[in-house]
Amino acid sequence: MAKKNEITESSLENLTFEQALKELQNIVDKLETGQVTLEEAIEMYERGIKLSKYCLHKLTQAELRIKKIIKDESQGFTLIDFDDFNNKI
Amino acid sequence: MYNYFPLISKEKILTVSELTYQIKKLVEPNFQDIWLQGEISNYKIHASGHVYFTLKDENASIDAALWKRYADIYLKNYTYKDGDKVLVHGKIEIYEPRGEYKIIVDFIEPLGIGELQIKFEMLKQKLAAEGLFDARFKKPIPEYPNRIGIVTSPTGAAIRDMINIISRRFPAVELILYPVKVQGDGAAEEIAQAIRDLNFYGKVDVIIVGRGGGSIEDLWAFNEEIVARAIFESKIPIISAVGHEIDYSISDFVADLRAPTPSAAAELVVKNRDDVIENIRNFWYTIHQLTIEKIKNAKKEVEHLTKSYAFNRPIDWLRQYTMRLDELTRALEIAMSHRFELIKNNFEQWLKRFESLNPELALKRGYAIVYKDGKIVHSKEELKLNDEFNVKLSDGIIKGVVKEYGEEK
Repeated sequence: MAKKNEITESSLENLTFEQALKELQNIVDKLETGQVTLEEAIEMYERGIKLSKYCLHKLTQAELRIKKIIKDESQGFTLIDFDDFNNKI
Repeated sequence: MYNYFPLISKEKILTVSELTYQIKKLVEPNFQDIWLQGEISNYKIHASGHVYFTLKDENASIDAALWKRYADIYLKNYTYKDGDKVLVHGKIEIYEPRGEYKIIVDFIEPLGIGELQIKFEMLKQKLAAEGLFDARFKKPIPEYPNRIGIVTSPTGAAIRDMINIISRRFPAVELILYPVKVQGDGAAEEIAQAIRDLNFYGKVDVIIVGRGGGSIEDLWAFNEEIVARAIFESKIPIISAVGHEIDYSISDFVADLRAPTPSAAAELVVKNRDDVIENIRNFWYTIHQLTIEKIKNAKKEVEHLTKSYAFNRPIDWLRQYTMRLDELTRALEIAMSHRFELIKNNFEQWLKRFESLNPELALKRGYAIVYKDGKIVHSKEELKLNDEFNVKLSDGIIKGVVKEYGEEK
């Protein structure tokens, strides 16, 4: 069980916002069908808390980041802050 | 009254028809091949399909008619309105019953942009024939893009508007600006290269290509074939956002989504964060409700069991279970009584309150959960002698082996 928790927690970090939201939706769908045991429901509940928190965290913590992409000679790309914007506004 | 123009012979008297006919004979042959420029006013499309308008400049005006057979051709891809400056070709006709003259138009184009308009139409038809605009090639725009590539001028109003709107609606994203020239020599090549580069770079979920409003010449880079091809070949979905709402560009047709303006593209590419938060709140509320319902049902079952079996004392898990269920139900009622205060702003707090329902917290109060193969053990019947099991405590797991069975004291 400990192991399982570790896996879910680490995988949460790797989820995109969209994937987390989709999983949340899936939990709702599964719970709505009623075809889950109490244990499963509680696991989903716990997962639901984590997913909701994760989504809200992503939504509320993040500030808009603005980067400018620069291509160098070797076809590599570098991102730099788009400062021009702040200077010009 | 004295007549300065004595009538010499009665034969000199004309009928209105005769006079009008003579004027007609005199005028019409000399005005058969007229190129005329002017500004449209009183523009009306008649139910018959014929179009009537007046052409004027500062000092004069002339009525004009465009018969349906020509209107069908020239109005197919272009809509005229009062105030438009146009170039027309036609002939002068005198309409005898009313003694009026007008120009009968057999060609019309917006003044000054005729050549570009023709180029536009030709390229549009060519690419359409090749299937570049087909719906089956349109890629879906991701609902929640993480990184948004923007190909536009770093100094224009467009980028400023897009940044403002996105930071207001959904700041939890990253904008990757690929600065390009959006008009003048080499602009089309830069735009096309930027689209290819962003595909090569790969780490954007969607690309907005566009610029703010301007004349047709200003917007022309977005009507170049090289840009259209780059958009078509892009593996990353592209939103085209060129000029104002009324401006259509080739890039609009070939892109996966057309936004009427750059600002509109910003509105389309991200949702409103408040709506999304509301959505999550609803998900969470539903999960909560359904789980509580499940717990209540389980509680009823447990109560039923404890009554039907002649237990002197309920065994431990049963007691634990009922307590936990009570706990959860109580917390639910408290939470629900506050439900209406729970607006978006304190949603995080709300979440924390719900979190206190977490069964894991029971562990903190000294309860333990026994697992075998990852499943909760409810009865000693599920564990045989020498079976291994895990006991979950608040701070971790301990492992055990069944040595013997005993009765609870």
